[in-house]
Amino acid sequence: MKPAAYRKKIEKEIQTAAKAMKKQAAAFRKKSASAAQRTRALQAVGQLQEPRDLALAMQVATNRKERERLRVAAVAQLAPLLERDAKALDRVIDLLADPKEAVSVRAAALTMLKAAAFYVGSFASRRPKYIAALRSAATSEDPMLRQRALGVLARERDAPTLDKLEDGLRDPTKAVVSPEKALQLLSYDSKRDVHDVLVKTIQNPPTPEAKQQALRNLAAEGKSKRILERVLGDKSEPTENRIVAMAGVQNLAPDAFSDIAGDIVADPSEDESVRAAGLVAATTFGGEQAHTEKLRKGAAHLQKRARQPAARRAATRYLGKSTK
Amino acid sequence: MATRSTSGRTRRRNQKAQVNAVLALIDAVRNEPERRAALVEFLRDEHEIFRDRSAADVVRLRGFVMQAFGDLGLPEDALPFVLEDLDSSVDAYAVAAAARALRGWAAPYIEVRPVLLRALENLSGTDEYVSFATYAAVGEPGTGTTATAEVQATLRWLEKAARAAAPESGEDQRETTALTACCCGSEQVRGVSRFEEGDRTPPSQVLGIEFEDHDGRTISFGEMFKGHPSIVVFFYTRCENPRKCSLTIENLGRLQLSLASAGLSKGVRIAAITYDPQFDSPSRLKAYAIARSFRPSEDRRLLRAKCGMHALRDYFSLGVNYVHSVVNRHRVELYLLDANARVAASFLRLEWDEKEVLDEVRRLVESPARDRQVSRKIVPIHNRGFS
Repeated sequence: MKPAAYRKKIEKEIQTAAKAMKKQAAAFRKKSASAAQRTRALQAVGQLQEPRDLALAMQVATNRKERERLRVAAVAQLAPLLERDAKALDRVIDLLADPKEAVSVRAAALTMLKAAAFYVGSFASRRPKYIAALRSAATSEDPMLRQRALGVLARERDAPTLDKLEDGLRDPTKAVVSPEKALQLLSYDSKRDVHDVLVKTIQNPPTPEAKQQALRNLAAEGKSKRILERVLGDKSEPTENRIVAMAGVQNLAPDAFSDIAGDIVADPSEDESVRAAGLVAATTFGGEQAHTEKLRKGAAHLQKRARQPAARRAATRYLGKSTK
Repeated sequence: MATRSTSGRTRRRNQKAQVNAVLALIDAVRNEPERRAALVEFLRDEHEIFRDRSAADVVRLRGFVMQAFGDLGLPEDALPFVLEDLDSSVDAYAVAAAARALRGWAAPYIEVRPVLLRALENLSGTDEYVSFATYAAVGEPGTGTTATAEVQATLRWLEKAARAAAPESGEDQRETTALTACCCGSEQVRGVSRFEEGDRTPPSQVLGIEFEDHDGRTISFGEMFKGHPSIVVFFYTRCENPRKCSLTIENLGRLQLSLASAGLSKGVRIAAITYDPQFDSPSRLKAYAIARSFRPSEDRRLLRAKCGMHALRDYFSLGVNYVHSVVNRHRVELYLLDANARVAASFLRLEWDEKEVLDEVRRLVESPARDRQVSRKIVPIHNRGFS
């Protein structure tokens, strides 16, 4: 297609889309239309742009008399308004904070605010209010909202939240999320004294996933190298756990990793997935120290004899890099 | 003392008892404010009470002690810690506590305004509601305060105090009066200390400590530092505060260039030693430094202690603490060693002034014999282990 024709085609498509958007915006503005029709209009419009439409969306979003699905769709349209109006930001934060609000509306507010944290210039000044709102949402009876809020708070390293998660691991009657989830969220703070909880979880796991997560968390602590090496070397451990332990050992002792990985990769009686994981780690993170004779021999063996295609591919990649 | 071998439950019980003891002391001091200086030790980074405590707990305990000075009156010895948290902390609780503590200062100096303004910058994106009603209180809208609000309150209080100090003076005279009143103590407050020849501790306990450098080579403390003046900083790659370790290494990179421009490169060694030798492998150290424009070389090394970290901590009186093997609290610290590997000067807590460090280095390089002639003895505010 010639450029001029292509441009004409695109321009026509844009005009068509703009017309469709205007039509949908008008359908939303039509108060005589049903809530379902107005919701569909908002879902089809893309993004409202006109100030009057955005103001109407805010009105709908914050009006408890409106249908829930319409309100959720209205919240999802508020991005341009939040960028230019700090009071609008406050109102959406209030939606999140209010325990009497519908869960779906609070969840929609949370989605909007998570994005706004990146692009709204005035967000920093609202952070105290946002954190307080998240803490309120983190006590919701609804597990989805609760977990989402806890996730954001944990990433923000909110001390009261992390304390609560830790308490839930020490005393399961106080748990607010599953143990593996709590451990995953606690991993955002590597300077917390939960070593005893992690070791206890590995020795006596409430769930297999919790044990795996505890192994991941241990990768942040230098003195855990021995525990991780033990799990890695234990052929009776599930493969996934051994691979997680391997990643932890690589993280804690990158300079010694080649020796450790070499023994595993060179052992033909070892699990292929574990051998392959060792080669992947050596290829990706190993640097020059990863080009050892042991690893090369092990890789050559795996390339010829492995049943799993992924293991053969890992060996080929390693050997390819090793000869360069 | 809480140790790794103590069961978790026992350790937590001990830690709770320690906190209760400190809270009881605060209450006792409220009844006898003249005893407030007794609380200052709980601001020291290396205090035993912070060992094996989560970083968040350390912030809370230090902060709660610090904010009490807002009501009790701020002892002069506490001022460097307060200014440090305003200068470099990104934690809302710590900054709010420091801002509040400053309002207990009997003789406020106008020149702390830049530190307060920096605190406002540091808070961008990290502020939250805090509460000092009780030790465990969580801040909420309506009942709590924010770090920004506390810093702004302190700025207003400073203005008021300055006007009260010189009610009939014009603006210029007000500033001059304030500066004159403070300058004799400014080095102590800024954490700058210089040690005369006779006050420098011989390095015999650390000379044999072996380091591994950024290229995996082994070098001892004596081999690295004896025979020429040296600049030594401490840091670690897992530091999450951009105003501390990351900035320290960036600044070290700039200092490296300034040394060259000043013709002081030859004969001065630079070392950045990690607090976290188990985690900070040579490759990690090197990558961290290069990413911050510090160029490692034979005379400019990133080091990790293969052993003897305790002796190193003692020798420098390092301001650092750990939760197990992970750093949970530390200060900014730069040391100048003389040709005998003895600490000749230290720049602690606040972001050091590059020109001031260069001047000190020049002093060490050009006229080491002058040290014996200096008669004015500047006593460092934290004089531990250097006599």
